[in-house]
Amino acid sequence: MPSLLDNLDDDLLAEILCRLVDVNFTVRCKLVCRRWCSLISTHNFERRFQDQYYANTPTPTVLFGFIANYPNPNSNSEWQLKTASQHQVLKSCHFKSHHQLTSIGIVASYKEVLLCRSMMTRSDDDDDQRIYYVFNPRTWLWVALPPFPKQRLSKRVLVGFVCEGHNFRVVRILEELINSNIMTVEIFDSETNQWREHSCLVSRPISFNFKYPFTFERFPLQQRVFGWNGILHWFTKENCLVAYDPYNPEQCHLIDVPLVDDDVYHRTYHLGMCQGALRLVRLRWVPKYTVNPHTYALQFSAWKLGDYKKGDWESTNNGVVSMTVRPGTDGLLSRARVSPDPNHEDIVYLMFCRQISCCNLKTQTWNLVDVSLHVRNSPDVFQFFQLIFPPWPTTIHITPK
Amino acid sequence: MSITTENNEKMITLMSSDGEEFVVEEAVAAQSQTIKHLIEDGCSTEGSIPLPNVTGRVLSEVIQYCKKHSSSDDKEEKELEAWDAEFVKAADDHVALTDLMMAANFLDIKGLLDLVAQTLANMITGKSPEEVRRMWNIKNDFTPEEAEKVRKENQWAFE
Repeated sequence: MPSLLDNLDDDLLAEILCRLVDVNFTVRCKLVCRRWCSLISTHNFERRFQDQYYANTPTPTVLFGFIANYPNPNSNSEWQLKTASQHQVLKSCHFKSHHQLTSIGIVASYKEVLLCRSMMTRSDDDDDQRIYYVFNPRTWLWVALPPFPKQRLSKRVLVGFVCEGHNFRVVRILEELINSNIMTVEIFDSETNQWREHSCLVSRPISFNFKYPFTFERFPLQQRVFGWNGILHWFTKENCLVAYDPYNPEQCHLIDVPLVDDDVYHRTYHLGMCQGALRLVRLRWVPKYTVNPHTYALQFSAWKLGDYKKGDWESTNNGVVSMTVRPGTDGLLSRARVSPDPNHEDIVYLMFCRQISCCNLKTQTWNLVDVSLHVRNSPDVFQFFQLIFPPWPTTIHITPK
Repeated sequence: MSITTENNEKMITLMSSDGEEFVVEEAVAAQSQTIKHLIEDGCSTEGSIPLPNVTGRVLSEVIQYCKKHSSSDDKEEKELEAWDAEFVKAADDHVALTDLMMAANFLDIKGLLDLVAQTLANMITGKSPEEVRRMWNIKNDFTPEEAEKVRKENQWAFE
């Protein structure tokens, strides 16, 4: 007797299976038969599942995480990752790689996926960053990219990536020492499994000097690219946001940010996503000597890119919290990372000296997020990225050559 | 040919694949986008609308659903939900549900399609692949090696 489900075409079968809600269970249903397996494996099905999920969840719960990663010093193939939800409940995730990792650093995140690079030395210079890995901590799946063209090795780069569908692209933006209206990028496309160089015209000359992007501090903040909605974004010295679509590599788009800066030294800018809109957060730190030489007023200002196409920024939240830092760590405030909460406008997270604080801009209070992490005593290994967990895990796949 | 009732409600005749005829109010039939478009295109003036993909048994259930949903307004949402639950329970054997789903799809009745798809999804939820196969009479066409490969590739979902 044939199965009753044989009467249903793939579209109708997908209509049923996309309502299974639990993503792990749905993936386990691949074991039912070949037909179910190939149906559930399609990108089209994943999209339906996500649409169905969001349709039934009035306020989509976006999980996000902050990473304390690291290869276990005793085992080159073991990492640990901790994620924090908006309720500050930390979920620990251990994962193992079959690959021998000398040392690994995370350079960018996109949704829940991480772009890592191997580091042979501790230097921040790019000389040894020849191999990139794209890694999904949720599915423990990762791929190694082929080495990028060697002639560019000496250049400093800004790196970002996007994953859309079953495809991803990694972008290396090359440094220029003088302002330029031509941007040179190297793009890896998972579909062709190749790096390709592109030149992109910018509407006016901007800085591609990534060395000390915002401050002249002793410990500068490493500049980052924030990928969101298929587009890479970074902030330049000219108070301008560059939006670059790796799927349209000959063009980029500049979005001016209306900022008044009286103090160009003690402030840093951070990008993130909140409630489905791109958000820029500025952190300024002002010493409160009258209170304590190590007490600072941390002034947060947040802007939201309300209308993305028009480039309309809206000032959304401002707030000041007072924080006393450990003596001797004052200079490290310039390396603090800030990330907006993906769901709550009033909340930003501050990562400073391997501690994560949850700051409420409305009540102007903060509390430490309990990160009982097994962090080693080296300051360059604790990393902090906004991770957005979509209902269906992002697929990482390279078409074999 | 169109019949009118006492309250001036226009009536439509629907004919199932096995030749059974159903006379329903136009508002009831128009719950189906497919029929609505046929009426708009003037296909109903020639007597009955033939529905070659739907049997009389299934059509009578579809009409029952449409009647209920055209006579209720949004305020009775709770009551309607309870009614829906009873409705799919009555059609609880798998044959009827898959037939109902195909009919809802062909007739383009979104509410009914959602309802049946969700009911079928709920029946699958929590079952092992073996139980799902037994329930739907699905043949396991994986070799043990293939099954193991699927399991390995999706290890994260099995933890």
